[in-house]
This record gives sequence, C-alpha cells and structure tokens, in this order.
Amino acid sequence: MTRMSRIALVAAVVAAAGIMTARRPGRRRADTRSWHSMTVYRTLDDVSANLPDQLCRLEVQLTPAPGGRGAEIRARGDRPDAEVRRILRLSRSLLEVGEVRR
Amino acid sequence: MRALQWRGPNRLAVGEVPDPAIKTRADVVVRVRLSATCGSDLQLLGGDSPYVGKGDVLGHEFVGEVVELGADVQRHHVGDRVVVAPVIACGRCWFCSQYEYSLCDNGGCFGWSHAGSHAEYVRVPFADVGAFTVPDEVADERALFASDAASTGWMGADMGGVNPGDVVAVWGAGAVGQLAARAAQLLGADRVLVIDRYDNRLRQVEKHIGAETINYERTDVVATLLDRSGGRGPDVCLEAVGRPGTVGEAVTACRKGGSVFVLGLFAGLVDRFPLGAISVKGLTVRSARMHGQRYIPMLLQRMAKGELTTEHLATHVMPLEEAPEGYRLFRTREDGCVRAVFRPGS
Ligand SMILES: NC(=O)c1ccc[n+]([C@@H]2O[C@H](COP(=O)([O-])OP(=O)(O)OC[C@H]3O[C@@H](n4cnc5c(N)ncnc54)[C@H](O)[C@@H]3O)[C@@H](O)[C@H]2O)c1
Ligand SMILES: [Zn+2]
Ligand SMILES: [Zn+2]
Repeated sequence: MTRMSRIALVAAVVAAAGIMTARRPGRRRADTRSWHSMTVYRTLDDVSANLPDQLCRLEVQLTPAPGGRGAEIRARGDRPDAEVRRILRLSRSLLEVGEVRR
Repeated sequence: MRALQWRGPNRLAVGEVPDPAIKTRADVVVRVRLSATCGSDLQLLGGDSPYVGKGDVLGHEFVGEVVELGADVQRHHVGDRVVVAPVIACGRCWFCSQYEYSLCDNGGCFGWSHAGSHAEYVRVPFADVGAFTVPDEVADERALFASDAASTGWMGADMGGVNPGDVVAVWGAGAVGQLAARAAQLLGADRVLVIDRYDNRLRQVEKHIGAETINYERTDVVATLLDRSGGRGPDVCLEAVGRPGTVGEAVTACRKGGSVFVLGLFAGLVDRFPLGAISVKGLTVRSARMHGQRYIPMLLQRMAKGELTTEHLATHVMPLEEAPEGYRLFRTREDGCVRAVFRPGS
C-alpha cells in the first residue's frame, strides 16, 4: 500500500473519531490518549478492506509490517488502555481466523 | 457428560458438565479414549494459574475418536482415531507460519484456557492444524504419548541441537525426560544419561529406553557427567524437571559451546543462577512450550515402525471416575506411578 492511501485511510478514521468526540465533548483530550499497536498477519489491503467494526470506532493507523510480517495496526480512543488492547486482540483474531470463540 | 474438574487448591472431583458442541467451523468434537496426567498439571493443581478457575476441566494429553465435524474441517472424518496436540494453534498467524505453534496469537491450551480432555468429550478448535489421524497399527496406549510427552521430548532434542556422536544428559526421568532421551538416541547421540532419584523410573530408563542413569541422591551429578564425557561435559543438556536448581546444574555441567534446552515449566522468579557461566562457556540456552504440531505426524510414523514405544509409561490406567486418586498417585509418585491414564466411559 502506498503512503498516500495510508494517509487517506487515517484521515477517514480520524474523521470518524471526530464525530464521536463531538458527541462527548467532555472527553476531548486527544494528546494524552496513548497509542497501542498490534501486528496482524494479513496484507495491508486485506486489513483495510475488512477492518472490524469495533476498530472503526477508534482512531486507527495502518502500515505494512517489515519482513513480510503482515500489517501493523495502531489505535487509540477515548477508552481505557486495556479496552483498546482488547479490541486490537479481538480484531487480530477476526482478521486472521475469521471467527472468535474461546 | 462426566469430567474431572478443578474445584479449588488441591481439590479435584469428577462431576457433571455440559457436553461440548461445535462452536466454530474449524472445530471437531472428540470422544476421549485415553487422557493422561502430565507434570505440568501439578503446578496448576495448587491454584497458581490465572487460567484455571473453579469447575474447569483439566487434561491435555489425549487420544480419541472424532464424533462431530465443523463445516470447514478438511482432514478429518467422523470415526477417525486422532491424537491432538495439547497446545491449540490457528495455523494462520505469523507464529504458526514459522511453525512456532505454542506461540500462536489465536491459540490456547487444553486444560488451561480451554476445557480439558479428562472428560468424555472435548471440543478441538482448529482441528485441521492440531489433530492427527493415528495409524491403525498404533494402539491407544502408545499413540496417547505422541500428544505431549513424546513431542515435548523430541522438541528438546531437536531444538537443543542433538547431533550424531553427542553426549546428551537429561534431567528428569518422567515421561517427558524418558522420551527426550529416546529422541536423543534416535537423532544419533552416542551416549545418553538420565538423572532422577526414583529407582523405578531409572530402571524404566535402562530397560525401555536403553540409556544410562544417574541417581542424584547418591551421586554428584556434575562430577559424574564430566567423568562420563571425558571431562568435556555433555554436548547437549535437556532439562525435563521444572524445579529450581536443575537448569543451573545443566549450565554448570554442559561443555563449552554446548547447548541447554529447558523443557521444564517454571512459575515466577528463580534465583541463584550461574548466569556468568553462560557467557564464559559460550552456551546456548533455549526453552519453549511444546510445538506438538511439528512433530506428531513423524512420531506416529516412528511409533508404527516400533522405533518409539511408550506403553510402559502408562503405569496406572483407570476409569475417569478414579481420576482424583490417579492424580494423588501421580503427585506422590506412590506405587511407581509415572503417568496415570484415564479411560472415560468405562
Ligand atoms: N515445554 C513444554 O511444553 C512441556 C510439556 C510437558 C511437560 N513439560 C514440563 O516438563 C517437566 C517434566 O514433565 P513430566 O511430565 O515428565 O514430569 P514428572 O513430574 O512426571 O517428572 C519429573 C521428574 O523430575 C525428577 N526430578 C526432580 N528433581 C530433580 C533433580 N534435581 N534432578 C533430576 N531430576 C529431578 C522427578 O523425580 C521426576 O521423576 C515438567 O516441568 C513439565 O511441566 C513441559
Ligand atoms: Zn503436558
Ligand atoms: Zn496461530
């Protein structure tokens, strides 16, 4: 994936996050929210085409992982860190194996 | 169905639990024919594992018969007799692509994160990746150990880098240590020595594995190993105990430039370790949880050819209803117990 499409995608998600923060103005502290990253063993195109719903509610950046390791998903949002990490893990399972049932 | 449940620290009981059902398209349900105790269960019986809660079903080393198939399962049919790797792996993440199945991002383990095999039935996720058909000529009592003890032992010898002509030392004469010793022989080791303190286990090593033995209660282990390796020290040291002290002893005994592989599973911090010796002697020290999916098909072939026999390890075969007593025997090593093996539905 090219740098341009990456930027486009980020812009799209940032816009979505913007709508959410607009609904909850009290929570608007974008600079302090920390990023969390996870690598998914799928191509960047595959990931961006199949981004799980829960991730769409966060601010998301996608980049290819080096060495053929798939795609790196970076996310942050107005949620506790543990919740963002849980969403990332769930998303990875959905993207890699399709279904998630323990 | 009936199943062995963890009911609290050191409390086990057989009780009624819901029958498992297919949950994803890659699952199968297996009717358990035999399911064995493992040294790694002993730690979690005390309640140290965050994964095991009251009522959970234990067990991860098993052989059984496929009774139900998920829609996407390709490699199995109803009625197949299968051995299943204890570590659940998806086959689709990056770690699985490197054959590092126990590092799977979407996996787990029977009897920990997923309901275990000391039960009449067990749900097997990702069955095309983790379940393997047993050749007709391999009986249940042999195939059972391909699941865990034999694949774990083989992994130690393989990843520890055993080469033809090597002297190999194995700490622990449980099922894992014995089969690590056998793997080292099959990989061409010249001399294999197994260390333990239970004479019945050491006798099994001499009789069924054909390796030399050292009783650590009666002998200075490091001095004996040095003596029996011409003063060099063993080329490869395999730790199959999981108690403080043994890895340090292996590092101390190992020859310069040699390799130590830790199969034992440790909880928490372990101190007083001869870390300096690793650098000074240029050692390679590695460890892993078992990557059963790598080895099980090859092990079943060797079992079919008679190169690998494991029946002697099943010292106590009993109905599932007696599983709490089986764990007591296994934990106390009473009556020469090496592995208690449960037969559900009998
Ligand atoms: N890496 C993995 O994925 C994996 C898989 C299975 C088992 N394991 C681990 O492997 C280890 C062995 O498993 P097992 O089922 O054979 O256990 P086991 O409890 O049946 O056997 C362990 C043996 O070690 C002996 N021992 C104790 N202290 C010793 C010492 N100082 N020196 C030499 N021997 C000593 C005991 O007497 C016993 O015979 C356990 O730690 C278990 O958790 C790891
Ligand atoms: Zn085990
Ligand atoms: Zn995986």
